[in-house]
Amino acid sequence: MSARTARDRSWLRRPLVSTASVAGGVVLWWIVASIVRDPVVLPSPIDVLGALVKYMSGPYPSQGVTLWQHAAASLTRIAVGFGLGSIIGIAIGSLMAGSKAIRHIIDPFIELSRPLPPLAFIPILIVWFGIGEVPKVLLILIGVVPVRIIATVTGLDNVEPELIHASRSLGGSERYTMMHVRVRAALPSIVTGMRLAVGMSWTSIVAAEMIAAQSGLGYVILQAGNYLDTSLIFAAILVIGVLGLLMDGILRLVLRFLDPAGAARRV
Amino acid sequence: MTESIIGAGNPGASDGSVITRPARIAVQNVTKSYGSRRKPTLVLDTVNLEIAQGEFLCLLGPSGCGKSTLLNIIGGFLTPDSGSVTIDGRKVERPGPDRCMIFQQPALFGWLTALDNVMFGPRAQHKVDASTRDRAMSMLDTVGLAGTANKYPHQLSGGMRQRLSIARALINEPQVLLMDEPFGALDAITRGQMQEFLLNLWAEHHMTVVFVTHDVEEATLLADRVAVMAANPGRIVHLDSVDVPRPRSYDLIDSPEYSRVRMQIRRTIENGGHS
Ligand SMILES: Nc1ncnc2c1ncn2[C@@H]1O[C@H](COP(=O)(O)OP(=O)(O)OP(=O)(O)O)[C@@H](O)[C@H]1O
Ligand SMILES: [Mg+2]
Repeated sequence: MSARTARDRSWLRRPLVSTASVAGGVVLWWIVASIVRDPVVLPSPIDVLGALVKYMSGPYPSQGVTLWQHAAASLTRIAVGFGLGSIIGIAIGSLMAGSKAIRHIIDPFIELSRPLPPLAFIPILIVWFGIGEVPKVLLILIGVVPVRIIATVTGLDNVEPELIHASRSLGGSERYTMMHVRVRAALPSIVTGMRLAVGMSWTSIVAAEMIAAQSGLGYVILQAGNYLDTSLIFAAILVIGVLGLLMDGILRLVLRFLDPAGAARRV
Repeated sequence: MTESIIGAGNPGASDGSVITRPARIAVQNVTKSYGSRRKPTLVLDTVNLEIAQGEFLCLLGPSGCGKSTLLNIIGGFLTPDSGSVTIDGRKVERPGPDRCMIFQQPALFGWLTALDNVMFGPRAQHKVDASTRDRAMSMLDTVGLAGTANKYPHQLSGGMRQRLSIARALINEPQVLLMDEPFGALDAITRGQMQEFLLNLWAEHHMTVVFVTHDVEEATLLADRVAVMAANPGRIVHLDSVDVPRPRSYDLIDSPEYSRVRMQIRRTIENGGHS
């Protein structure tokens, strides 16, 4: 009962507080910008909005591609890299959760790769694969796959043995139990891994596009930087932020749907 | 060592009852060790036990004496090192819906509604037909959860969850119910209600029940017979029948027969298994 009322209240409050804090941030930015009075150092929110509107419809810079199309290019790379990375990560993670031998074979590589920044691989990837789409997708994979593996393995490992016993004693075959209980119970943690991986793939792809690309939001940011078009830099960053939030929002909805108990706990 | 073999193999001295009904569950010379092959720890030492059809047997003993291990062997979740368990003459080799296990924690499927939790058994066995839903609903009704069919487990109280897990087991119409301290996590009032509930259920369906507890009062209230185990190595040291007519309730808890059985059990436990 008390948990319930607390929840009701926070439902009311949370959007309010969050909206207010975002608005406060924008106002603060505005004030600082009007003190600085130099749009190259710090453009005001209006400048950024202007740049956003301008390049949404108008092409930038010379290839006749709008900001939307650059965003679409980045998104496509992420979709491919993230999708592939998820499939590979979930597959390897499931194998590791299922077999001790496979786990011991793969584990050291994951442990080794975890502290490595994916960006360190960019030069090698360029040497090996040039500057086409392949190295970019590979770079995302390098970031995404270990995260997905770890989330999958921990998810499957942490399924309470009682749940599996319960299913077996209710007449579920081993296979039925694997699919309907173990994997199902691990889904929320697998999706949580996806949320982490989304952020990861944006980091990787923007960096890759800054070094070797003719399109994409990273490319836009680098070009705008070269021409001291700070408003556009901010506009592109804003687009990345909004797209990232959108993807995360979708995953959170999925999570709420998959895990009613967790959704209640998290508000 | 000789003590334990005598204790396990021949608990008859203090066994007041003569079983006339046919044995449904027969535990024969079951031995189980944990740990490495070089340094095994004996957890169950030649346990013998016969449980009659429709009998309510309580397995009582201190923590760590092997009650759960024995129950898991009967349930088919563990295989004994030697000896065997048979149910109606058939050897137990794997878990099955004919003998359902109820755990201390209800182990409900959190992503399924109460109704879908109850429907899990029929679905898992691919035995869903037009009547399954109605049966599941009436099963929820039986355990007093008719109004919560569409709630998720986390929206239920502890006692409701445990009742749901019982409903989920009962839809399979198990002939044997294995319960591992099912009410241990509940508060005293709820536990009392659950005990009454279980007794009513059992009076109606008369399944064979093996009920693990370390609460002497709970054991004497529920059981036809109480099997007392001792630890290191785990073995059955005392078997006693509780000759109190049914229906029973907590009001009778101070009656002479209850007191006699409880005294006897306590003495056995205090003497470290030498009754
Ligand atoms: N998987 C395991 N590996 C090694 N030892 C185990 C394992 N499971 C249980 N044991 C040991 O076996 C003994 C009996 O355990 P068991 O769980 O059967 O006891 P219990 O009587 O159910 O105790 P409790 O009342 O605390 O639930 C304990 O000493 C325990 O340490
Ligand atoms: Mg136990």
